[in-house]
Amino acid sequence: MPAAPLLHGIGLRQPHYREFRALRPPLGFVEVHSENFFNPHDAASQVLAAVREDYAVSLHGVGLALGSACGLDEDHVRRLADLVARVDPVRVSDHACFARAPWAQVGIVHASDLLPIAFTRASLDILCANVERVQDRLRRPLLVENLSAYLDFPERDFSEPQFFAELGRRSGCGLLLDVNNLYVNALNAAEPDPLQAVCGWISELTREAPPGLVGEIHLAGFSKQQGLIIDDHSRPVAEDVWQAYVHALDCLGPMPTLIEWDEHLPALSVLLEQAAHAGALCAARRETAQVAS
Amino acid sequence: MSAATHTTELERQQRLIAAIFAPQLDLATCPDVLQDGARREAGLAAYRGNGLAHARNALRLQFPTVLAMLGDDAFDVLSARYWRARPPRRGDLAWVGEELPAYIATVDSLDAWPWLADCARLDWAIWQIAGAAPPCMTHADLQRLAAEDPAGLSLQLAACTARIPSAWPIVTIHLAHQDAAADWSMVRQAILDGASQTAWVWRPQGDAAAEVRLIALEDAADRWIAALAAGASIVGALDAAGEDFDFATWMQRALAEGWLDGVATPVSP
Repeated sequence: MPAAPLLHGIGLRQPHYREFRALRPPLGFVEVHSENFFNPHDAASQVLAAVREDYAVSLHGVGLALGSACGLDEDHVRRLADLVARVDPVRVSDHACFARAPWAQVGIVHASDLLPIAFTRASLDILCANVERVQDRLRRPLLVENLSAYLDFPERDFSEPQFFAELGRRSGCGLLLDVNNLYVNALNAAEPDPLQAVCGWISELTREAPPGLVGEIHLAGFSKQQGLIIDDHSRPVAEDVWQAYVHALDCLGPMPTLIEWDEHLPALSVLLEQAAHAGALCAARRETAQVAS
Repeated sequence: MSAATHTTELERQQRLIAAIFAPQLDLATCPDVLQDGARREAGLAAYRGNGLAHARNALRLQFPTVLAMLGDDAFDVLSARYWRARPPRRGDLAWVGEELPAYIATVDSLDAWPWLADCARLDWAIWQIAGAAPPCMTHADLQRLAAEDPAGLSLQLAACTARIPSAWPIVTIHLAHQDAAADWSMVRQAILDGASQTAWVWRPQGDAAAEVRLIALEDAADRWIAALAAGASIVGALDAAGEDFDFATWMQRALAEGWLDGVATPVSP
């Protein structure tokens, strides 16, 4: 029987380029921030082209601002489409957020951040229209990631899992399930049992979502800053997040899983150890499923 | 979706954007949110800080000379003022510094450093050229150059080159900030003398892995390149450059370094 494909990956960041290419570690994929590779002529794009020869690449964007009521930046969509054509990625993703809006005399500005959207019907309509626009341009489905949000709007027509289930049903996109974001939100909401809150979220999603909605899982670490838990990808994955991840695998089955680390980047070996742990949990879930069947 | 509900979402988003870019944190400007009190303030502060931090980190990479001249604290103050005065228009932070040189020229408190805006223009040109398209001069271009009347031909400067004129010694200032053993008395004297320089910036053969290079142009070469950039014919550009200009030597280096994109019909004589 052929070996099962590896499902774990890491976010590849510039300080690790040289070591990564020399080491060529066993991974199912690597993920990069799309915007860092929009320019086809710079050195980073050369590195990505070389990495692509050995690995599947997942393109993860932070700038589309898919939930923006004022619409998308067509130039950004064009640059993403060009990148997708160059890289032929295994997945393309961005966030369920807004960042663009008209402001004062300036015109449309971009906040360079992932700003929260309301879980209302109007917001869902906006997100669906923008996701469909990008998917039509890329000619492939997107994955849309759930946010860590530091402010929430009181008006809502859906729970968050219902919102993503409906988004997937209507637009055909998938969900990039960020388990750490769920945990950060639970901590900031002062949930009495944050782990239980996260597992409840995932269970609700499993009940509500069309089959196969989730296409990838993100795991990361967080820090506490000025009274808030910030999803800054600056630490190892927390123990509770690992437990929530196991619950997600139980609900969803083995899943491509990424370790994200952006701040206080550790040695590559640390990142690979975390990814290997995710891979081992995936493999264990796969064996359990095979025994059961 | 009705127009009214779309407008509701648009206004909600506009209010949050306005609260993020406002000069001071003001909870009254924040749209209605579930959180209240200190938790609301912390949430809004996080968003006000995140975007600015992302922009500041990008600006530090894009303007190393300005950063070195101002120091960390003053640069961060400048970044914050710039972020609010000229908010980003794009979701790609590679462009966040696009308007900083022009903004610096408008900041009264920087009047004591009148060369700063031009140094920022040079930093930005270097940042842009690091990712510019490589030169695309072809054999056919060279054949045209050899066979046709130079009065009917112009040379196209490559995208991976830039000419930055300044009333200040911007090349001397830039290079000094990259040199641990720089002779600062010479830099000061060049500024006091009002020594103007035009920087010529390029990436050798457009090689993505190569360091961007820069030199201060001699007057004749500056006039030559300025004329080419304006679309002059080769003959017209030679007239502009004057008798001191050595065309053969310049052309040899231009081909070796990749300064040219090709041969075209001039837009002016």
